[in-house]
Amino acid sequence: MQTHGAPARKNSGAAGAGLARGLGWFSVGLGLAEIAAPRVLARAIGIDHGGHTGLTIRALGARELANGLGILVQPRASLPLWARVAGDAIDLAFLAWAFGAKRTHTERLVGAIASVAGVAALDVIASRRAGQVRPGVPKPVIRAITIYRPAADVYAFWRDLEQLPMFMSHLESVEEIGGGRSRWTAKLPTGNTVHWEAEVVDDRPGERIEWCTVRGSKHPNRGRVTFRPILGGSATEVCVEMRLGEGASAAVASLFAGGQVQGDLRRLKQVIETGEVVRSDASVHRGPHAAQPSGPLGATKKGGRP
Amino acid sequence: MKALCWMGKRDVRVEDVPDPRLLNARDAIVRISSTTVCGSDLHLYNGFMPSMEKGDILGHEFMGEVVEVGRGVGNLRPGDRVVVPFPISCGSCGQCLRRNFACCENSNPNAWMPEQMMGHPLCGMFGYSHLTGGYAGGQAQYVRVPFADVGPLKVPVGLRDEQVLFLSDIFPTGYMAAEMCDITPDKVVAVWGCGPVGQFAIASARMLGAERVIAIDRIPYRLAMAKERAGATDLINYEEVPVLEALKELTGGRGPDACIDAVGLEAHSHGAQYLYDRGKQMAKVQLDRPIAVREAILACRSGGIVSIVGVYAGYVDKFPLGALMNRSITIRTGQCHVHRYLRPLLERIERGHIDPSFVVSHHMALDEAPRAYDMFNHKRDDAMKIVLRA
Repeated sequence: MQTHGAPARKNSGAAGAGLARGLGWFSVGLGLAEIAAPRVLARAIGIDHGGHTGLTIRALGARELANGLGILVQPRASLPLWARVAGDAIDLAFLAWAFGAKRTHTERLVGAIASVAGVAALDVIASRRAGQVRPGVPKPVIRAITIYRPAADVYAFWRDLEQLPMFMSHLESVEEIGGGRSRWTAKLPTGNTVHWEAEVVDDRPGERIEWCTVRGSKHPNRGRVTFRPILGGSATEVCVEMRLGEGASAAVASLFAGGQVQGDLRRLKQVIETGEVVRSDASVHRGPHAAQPSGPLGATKKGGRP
Repeated sequence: MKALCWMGKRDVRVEDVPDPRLLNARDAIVRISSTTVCGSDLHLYNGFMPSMEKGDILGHEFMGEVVEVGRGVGNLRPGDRVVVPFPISCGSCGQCLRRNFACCENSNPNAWMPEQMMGHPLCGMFGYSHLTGGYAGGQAQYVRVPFADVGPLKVPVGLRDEQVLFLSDIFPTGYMAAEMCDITPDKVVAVWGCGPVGQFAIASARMLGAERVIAIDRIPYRLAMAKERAGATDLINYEEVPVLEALKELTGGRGPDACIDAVGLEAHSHGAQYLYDRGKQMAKVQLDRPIAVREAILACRSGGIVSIVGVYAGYVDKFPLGALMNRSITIRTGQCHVHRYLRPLLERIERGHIDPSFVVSHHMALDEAPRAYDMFNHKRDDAMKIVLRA
């Protein structure tokens, strides 16, 4: 059995969450202090405690408190921690602005700025750890489905790569060009098409197929599909694991890839078990009156989630 | 063709829309002869089901004549008279092979939507929101029937439409509710809700041998039908007597052996609980008013069965999980796996064990469908089951 959950967390996950929780509690404490005793705090950091200062500090305190609670609820999420970094920037801006004001206690203010800068550094560290972003390496997309046909049949269907567009709705075509290589054409939601060449790097009939884009591809991706027989061989668990290359566009694509792969697997199951991609009126007729009988075909090609 | 379209909350209209066409090889086109409004259509009508879109054709209880079949349909020919089950089932996925037809894994092109809401996909259904696939419904002159080689039942000559029409949903649904109760003659069954499904649950419980069936509702004409036509032995009008006390009185303090919820998410009640659930529903923080099922659990004898066929949509609170667990109560539920019951129940109709047409209260033309919804929704003119001629 494979272990589930992201293995990358093993290294820094626990420590990262510890630091995040510490910062969360710090936020809550500071926020409460800012709300409860803004003037005392203003004196401590050496700024003018008259006028609107009290109100401003209370507002900052409310933000701090909300931010802290956000972190404590999800200590592993990076967003609330990055919000703290943004908050630090706001605080620093206010403090820098206070330099120019009269009735400022410069030494205390410098101390305050140094403290905020120090905490900001910790915030950045915690945020980066929480995101686990070694930037540009998206997590693999893993999806599975059970098909009530023997593994050999499902494998054979998949191995005929030119059939893939029948159920992979983002693909326009796959052409086998010999030597285990194939040319793929996909259409983007924007209407543009992209091409890449891939080769089968591991092929075990009835068990698994692994493919990878050729070197130098502009849209690097690699994937593996495994076929595991169950119920005495009458059904097959099909599991797809895909990694989309590096960089921001791959990271964005990965966000949608899970739903896309799941939809593809559902259509694969439909084709193998029922003979075709199953269509409802709504799946061929978009816009208002979606569940009305369809108009002329051709507006959209296939059913299911785009 | 003419079809009843959902245009918004309590706004349905008969519109001219394009005729359906074959989209898959296993499709058939059926010219509707009779169709009807289901209690669950009222959940759509009243705007309680998410994912409805303006223009959606409603209707999942219908029958008619096959006019066209795809090349993958070997068992039907134009001219065949058929009644069509409301769940759309492929017949070959894991669930269909287990005969859980209403859990078909292939028939919902929008599977991802219910998967987000409910953890796993739902099957496709006719005219029942986009969560169940966005299939056009059968309150229309024509309908496209996917997997026509699996679902439709050919109707023998000699049976009138209204004797077999309800095989599409409410008769099997009521029957399944009773079947889930493991009925033996000595068992007492209580049925919440005396709408058409409740009537068939009562009649089926009697058919399966229950000697005592207690019907619970608040509307006198429904209670009267439960007794006179469906065969209920005892009646409880919950606006007149407290249900839990009345049930204890009728069962020597034990509670019914099996409780059927044929009400679902628009339950009525009185007092604070009703206002609480109604308020949450109106504020859109809760889709369901689970009043009947709560009461059914509390009423059920320890070790008994609560059978739920009333439709629910989302998450509920104040659910008596403690009673359920500590008193060893079993819950059985599901959308009806209609395909399982078509032939056995047709046989019962042919043998005269039951004539399902007893629930019909009105006949109207399809053009009058909006009025039918309004009447049924407000229980006007003793509306029970309104049959529309297309």
